[in-house]
Amino acid sequence: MPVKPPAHFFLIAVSLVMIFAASASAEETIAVPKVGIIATTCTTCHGEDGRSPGSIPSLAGKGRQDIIDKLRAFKSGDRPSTIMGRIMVPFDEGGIDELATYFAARTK
Amino acid sequence: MIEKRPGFNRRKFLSATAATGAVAALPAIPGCSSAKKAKVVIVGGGFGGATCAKYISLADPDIEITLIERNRNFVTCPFSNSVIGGFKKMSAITHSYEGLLDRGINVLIDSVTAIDSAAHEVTLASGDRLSYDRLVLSPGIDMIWNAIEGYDEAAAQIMPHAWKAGPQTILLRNQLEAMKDGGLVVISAPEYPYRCPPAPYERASLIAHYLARHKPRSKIIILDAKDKYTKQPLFEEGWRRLYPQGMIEWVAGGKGGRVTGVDPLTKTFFSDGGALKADVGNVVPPQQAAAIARLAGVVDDDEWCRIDPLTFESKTVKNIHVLGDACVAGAMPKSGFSANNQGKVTAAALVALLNGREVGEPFFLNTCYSLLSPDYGISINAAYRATPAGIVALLGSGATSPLDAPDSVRKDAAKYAGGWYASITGEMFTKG
Ligand SMILES: Cc1cc2nc3c(=O)[nH]c(=O)nc-3n(C[C@H](O)[C@H](O)[C@H](O)COP(=O)(O)OP(=O)(O)OC[C@H]3O[C@@H](n4cnc5c(N)ncnc54)[C@H](O)[C@@H]3O)c2cc1C
Ligand code: HEC
Repeated sequence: MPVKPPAHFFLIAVSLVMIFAASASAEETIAVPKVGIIATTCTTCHGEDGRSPGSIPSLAGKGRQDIIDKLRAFKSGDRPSTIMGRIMVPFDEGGIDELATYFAARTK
Repeated sequence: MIEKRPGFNRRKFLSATAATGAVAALPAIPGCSSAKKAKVVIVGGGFGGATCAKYISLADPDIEITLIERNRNFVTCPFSNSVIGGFKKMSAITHSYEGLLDRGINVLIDSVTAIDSAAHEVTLASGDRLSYDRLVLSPGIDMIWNAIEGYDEAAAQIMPHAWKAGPQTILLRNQLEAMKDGGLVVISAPEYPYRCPPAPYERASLIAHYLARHKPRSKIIILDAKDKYTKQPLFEEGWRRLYPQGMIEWVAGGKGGRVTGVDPLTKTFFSDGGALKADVGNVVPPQQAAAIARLAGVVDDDEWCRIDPLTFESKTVKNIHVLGDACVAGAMPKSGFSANNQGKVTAAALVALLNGREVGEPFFLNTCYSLLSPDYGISINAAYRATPAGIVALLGSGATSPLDAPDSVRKDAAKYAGGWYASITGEMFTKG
């Protein structure tokens, strides 16, 4: 059975599709995590609310488009990185957009 | 941001977990609309507990939060291997709870000695009692004494585990400093699950960093219960690049590495491979959820705690949430990073539950950085979601640093490992 990818955030992993499909019926839906909870997984490295106290760059208050460009480039590999290329694997364009909007709106 | 997506029924998930005893979305607690609407008591001020306390208070200042921690200061296991390797001071990995106190979180330096889940009450060593609406346990691990024959608390004073940071870290460091050049350091590593899968190999690396400079004729042998270990090709590559050939030797479980006993008097390790006498012996023994989880009645037969992955509520006792190393979080490793992300998910779930809102969909990352020298870092990472089958890694999201990367990339990773440490401890301990 072909499975449509979600509009936002995740390139569905095959194993997950299998798990989800097991309980599927046409009208059933799945919730996607809110951007707030995803953003707090970024702050473990980028600092609370995106304000970094150490060597990893801050995200708070950066330009939205600047963040989008960088995240896209990490994902595609155009921008070399020690880790961000790997971190971006499960996120799609919609996810990138929401994360960028979220961090751009934090105060520096 | 709730997307319609074919496939997975959230309500079914909730009722399935409810059937096993863990009820998620509950109505608001009756009569709790006044100033402090509910009491959350958190046991353990480490990676899970301190983060959870901070994030509840960020999300809802009207919840009364009490954090109970037995030690006045928290010494992190992360970067304790750098202390053992001689290039970080204990003060750099020691943190106080002032910031959390300044946020208005009640921090009690005391031990929880009993939990009455029927009465919703915890008892402290001081004799005080506290009532809770929701209890969070992030108590970490305890060693299983005598799982390795002869390895008990007294033996750990001679052959340290240094798997809880503090006096044990200093003991191991002092023994390395006192060891003669040409000495043998033996590290025994346990079978899964245990706290921080890559840490035994990071430790061997950073001990090699010290020995190569100060006692170059010395040697390290890792006796492993496992036949392979995390980031193995990256560790092996790094050891070839950084240290004299043969300085670190790893013995697989199937080749005599599985340690079954020790003799602390002679610092001897026993395995199928025979007896090995060390000058410095570091035993990382099998582990279990910390004692308080057992007293609370939330451990299973395997000595770990099963939880509902949406809320981290115990599957055996209602209103008690267990996170961090003590819980079984599916594919997530027992790490400080995991505990931090679980602390945030638990905080969000508690705030939702205590305000009568629906619990949100969780999401987790983990990254374990390891240092092979002060300037040589590697990492492994993955993303995770909750499913009816527990917490699973998103396919394709797990990866490690590449092999054969230039030294400059390893150096950047080491620098960023330090940045991660500043950020995660900042989240835990600053007022914010
Ligand atoms: C050598 C080493 C290196 C590591 N390096 C890393 C790393 O680089 N990155 C990483 O992500 N993880 C690392 N870890 C793993 C990390 O330390 C643990 O996964 C993390 O501490 C788990 O958090 P926790 O909240 O479950 O437990 P802890 O952080 O251990 O916190 C538990 C707290 O509860 C307190 N407590 C327990 N029982 C009671 C009681 N009854 N009353 C009051 N207080 C109580 C304890 O005193 C303790 O402070 C490392 C571990 C080791 C051993
Ligand atoms: C394990 C630590 C870690 C995590 C988790 C992490 N990052 Fe990063 N981030 C880094 C590092 C390190 C860099 C520097 C580039 C590199 O080497 O990867 C970086 C760089 C960035 C940059 C570029 C900043 C700049 O101005 O140069 C952005 C944007 C970013 N990260 C966003 C995110 C988002 C969004 C998340 C959460 C989905 C996230 N990061 C999670 C470590 C992390």
